[in-house]
Amino acid sequence: MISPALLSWSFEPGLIVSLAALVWVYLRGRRDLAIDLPERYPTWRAVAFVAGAVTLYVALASPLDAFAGLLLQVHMTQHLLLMLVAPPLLWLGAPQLPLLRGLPDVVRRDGLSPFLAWHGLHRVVDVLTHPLVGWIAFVTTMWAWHVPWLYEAAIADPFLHEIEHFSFFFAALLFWFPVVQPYPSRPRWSRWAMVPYLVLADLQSTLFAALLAFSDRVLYPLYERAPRLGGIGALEDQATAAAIMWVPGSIALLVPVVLIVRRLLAAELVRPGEAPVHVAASRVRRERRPIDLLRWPVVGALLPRRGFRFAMQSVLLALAVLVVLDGFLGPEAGAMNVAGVLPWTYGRAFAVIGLLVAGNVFCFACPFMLPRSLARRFLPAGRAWPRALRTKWTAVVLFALFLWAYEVFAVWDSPWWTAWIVVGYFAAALVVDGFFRGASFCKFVCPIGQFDFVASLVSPLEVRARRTDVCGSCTTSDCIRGNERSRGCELDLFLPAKVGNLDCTACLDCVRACPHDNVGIFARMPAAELVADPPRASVGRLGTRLDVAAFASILVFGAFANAAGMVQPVLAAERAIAADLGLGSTLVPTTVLLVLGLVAGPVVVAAGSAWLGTRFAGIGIDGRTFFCRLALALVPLGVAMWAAHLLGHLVMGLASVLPVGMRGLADLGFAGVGAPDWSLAHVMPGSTETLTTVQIVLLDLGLLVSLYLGWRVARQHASRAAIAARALAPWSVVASALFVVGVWVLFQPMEMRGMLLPG
Amino acid sequence: MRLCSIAVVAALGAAVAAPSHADGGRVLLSEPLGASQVTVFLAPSPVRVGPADVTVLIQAGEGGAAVLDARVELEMVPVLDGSPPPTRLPALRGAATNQLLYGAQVDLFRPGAWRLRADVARGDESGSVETTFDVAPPAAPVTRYWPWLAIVPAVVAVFLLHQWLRDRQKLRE
Repeated sequence: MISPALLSWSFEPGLIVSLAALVWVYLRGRRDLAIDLPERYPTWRAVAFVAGAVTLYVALASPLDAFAGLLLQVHMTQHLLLMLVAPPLLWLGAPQLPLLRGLPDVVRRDGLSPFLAWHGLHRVVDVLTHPLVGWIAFVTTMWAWHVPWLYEAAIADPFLHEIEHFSFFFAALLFWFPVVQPYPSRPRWSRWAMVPYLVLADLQSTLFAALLAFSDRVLYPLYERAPRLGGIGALEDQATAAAIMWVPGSIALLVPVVLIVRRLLAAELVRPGEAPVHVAASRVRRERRPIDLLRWPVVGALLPRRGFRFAMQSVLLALAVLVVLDGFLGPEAGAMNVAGVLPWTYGRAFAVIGLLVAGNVFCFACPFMLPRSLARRFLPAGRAWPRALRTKWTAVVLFALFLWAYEVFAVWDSPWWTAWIVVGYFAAALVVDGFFRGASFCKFVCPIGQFDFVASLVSPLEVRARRTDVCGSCTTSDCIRGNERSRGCELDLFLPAKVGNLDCTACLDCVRACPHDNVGIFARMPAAELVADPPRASVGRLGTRLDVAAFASILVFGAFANAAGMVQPVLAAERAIAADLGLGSTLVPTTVLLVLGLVAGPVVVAAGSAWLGTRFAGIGIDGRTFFCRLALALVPLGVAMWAAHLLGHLVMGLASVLPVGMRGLADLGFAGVGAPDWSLAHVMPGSTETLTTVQIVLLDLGLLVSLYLGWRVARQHASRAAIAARALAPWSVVASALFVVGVWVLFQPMEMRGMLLPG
Repeated sequence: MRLCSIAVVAALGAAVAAPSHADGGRVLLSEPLGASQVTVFLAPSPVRVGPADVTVLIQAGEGGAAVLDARVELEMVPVLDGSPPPTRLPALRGAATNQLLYGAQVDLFRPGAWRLRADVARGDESGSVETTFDVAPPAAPVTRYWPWLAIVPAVVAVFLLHQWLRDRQKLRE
């Protein structure tokens, strides 16, 4: 049986993700380099690098970390791994070129090249990689952090402890760099100089170990106060720590001396004719193909099947029926009703998460499609959708109305209203698509669909043609016209001209219809489609689509208004305004605040900032086009706010479906399920720190992507960077202000909608 | 190529700087209870209003071996007139990273003095240890989350530098 002490590993997702990403980039780059330079990048280098990364994880997340505050010897071992084991292993992997090569081309070429060519940075780096600097950094760091008061402060304060670990590791990387001298770096000193370099480092380390070993008092009182595990006294623990530093520490520093001397002597003995023969690269470089989900073994076979989509739609349809039934027949309290929990706690969150990690999954599994398809067997569906309504304005109005009704009628807490909304949705879909051709409801009316279309601009997947030359030689255009295998795209997205995700329901009809097997679901850089503005099939140029820009603005400003509407200071302000005006309810103040947020925000603030930018910067684009482009550039920030907000509901109300389900089963006569445990419908206990951190990181990413997109848009129409900066300044202030509002909202005490209050 | 080396250093350093959460923390009390020694830890330090980790180590006899089959219950209450009824919750071994400790996360919802009682039962024996400690007012959220908030200005600064370098490079060319 494994000792419980050895099971004391902590789960560190940040560390796991960072190290896994590093190893992945390294291995990806090394794979390519090993083809060109097999003698420089043998397999053992990869093994060394991975071992270094694993050592880092062991040092920071294994029982060594859990026991570091209780036993000095454990803490010493942790530090030795950070300073003497992980850094040389990582440098032995010669990671500079593999890490550079393993990065995506665009990052390496556009992102890093200006820095790599910057002489100022070269000078700083020259200083940092000097052996003298590395040696001094190593020694100073070790002594400084072992000063008793600083050592104890680091143990007491997690943040200081992280800085301690970081500085140990950073200094050790600098120290080991000239020792390992990883390819392709060149030594600054003679390699013979590494002998005194390492020996002197060992001497000072031995001196410190001796101080610990021969001290007759405990140098770190913390360990005197700590409970003595296994009966090990504090002084005995200190002596053991000293021995660890002395013996294994010396081995780690002196073995490289032997290896270096041996290699230097061997090199002097090698005659010119005996140099090792390098094996020429014989393998053929593999071409990197874009990731296409439909080429994956199981997923690729499953996704395009009509039956798979039908199954997904059936599941959502069954859930929608449940929502309607429980909404009309169940208790009129959101937290106790399927109609309160399923759509508002789970549905919204999963839809937005799906958009961020994949694509438009809700439209793919849309429950309104099945009754619509059924109705089309009986209804004519032959009329063309009125030309005047072939815009997104209907959806803009409906979405704004929904956001208003949600606040004013507390829809999240009214199963009855929720049920009516679902029924209304089915009715609208039936009527519109029962009488009009194509997917008029999806394209022009459905606010959920428009939300998903616009939000899917930041999705990492996209349906598009595999090869444009195949489309060029295609004479049948089945992707749009359809054939006996499948109907064509009902949203008029002609594949060869389709750009991005706007208006794509991910129905995959085009995949099934294409006779050339030329449609794939490709991975892509999220939001990259917003950098340029080419003509898009059935959409045109986004810079001319005021209706799309208006919907995007409502989505963005609505995200902040919707989240702000549930925090205590805003609710208190609404109540105070209502009381001051002698009103019986908060209807008027809520409406006024929402109008300000949803109408004045986009119109005055966003459009005004774009107009100001064009007016005073002399940028080569008109105000309206600039606003349309910038409105879409804000979408990543808006989606991030929705995700942060809805993720909060999901995490805190994760278990609420259990008592609601039990209640529903009991209502249906299943007596065996027992009484529902309503405590599960309360806010989940525990720290919200991780959640808040994730929410802030989401907002960080959203703002950064938005600012980047805005910059790229402005730069396309400005001859110089300074002009682009001036043009973008007012809009950047708006984006930053929205970010600040979002962070402020996240920090406020929230009214936990759709959840029961304890007690 | 030394520049790449620094990029490697920075990337690896960032990985090491990823936050780690070890339990344990400040020793709140350590006293004998029958034949055992009970030590109670409190983290973070200083403890503020909000969630906090209480962990308990029980050691048997002179050898100091950790006792792993005890039942530990915590009772927490603010030391105030008219304070709410005490919160009782079990401390479990699975709740702490260090598997020798019994841990629980508690919500310290009010600043000021708090009383903590740990009820320890093992077989037929049971007993309690008790102490008080001070909880500081909550820190402003910005002070807790500033590293995450600093990401945006940091990235923007690097990006501006990138653009400046690129433009300078183009001008030279």
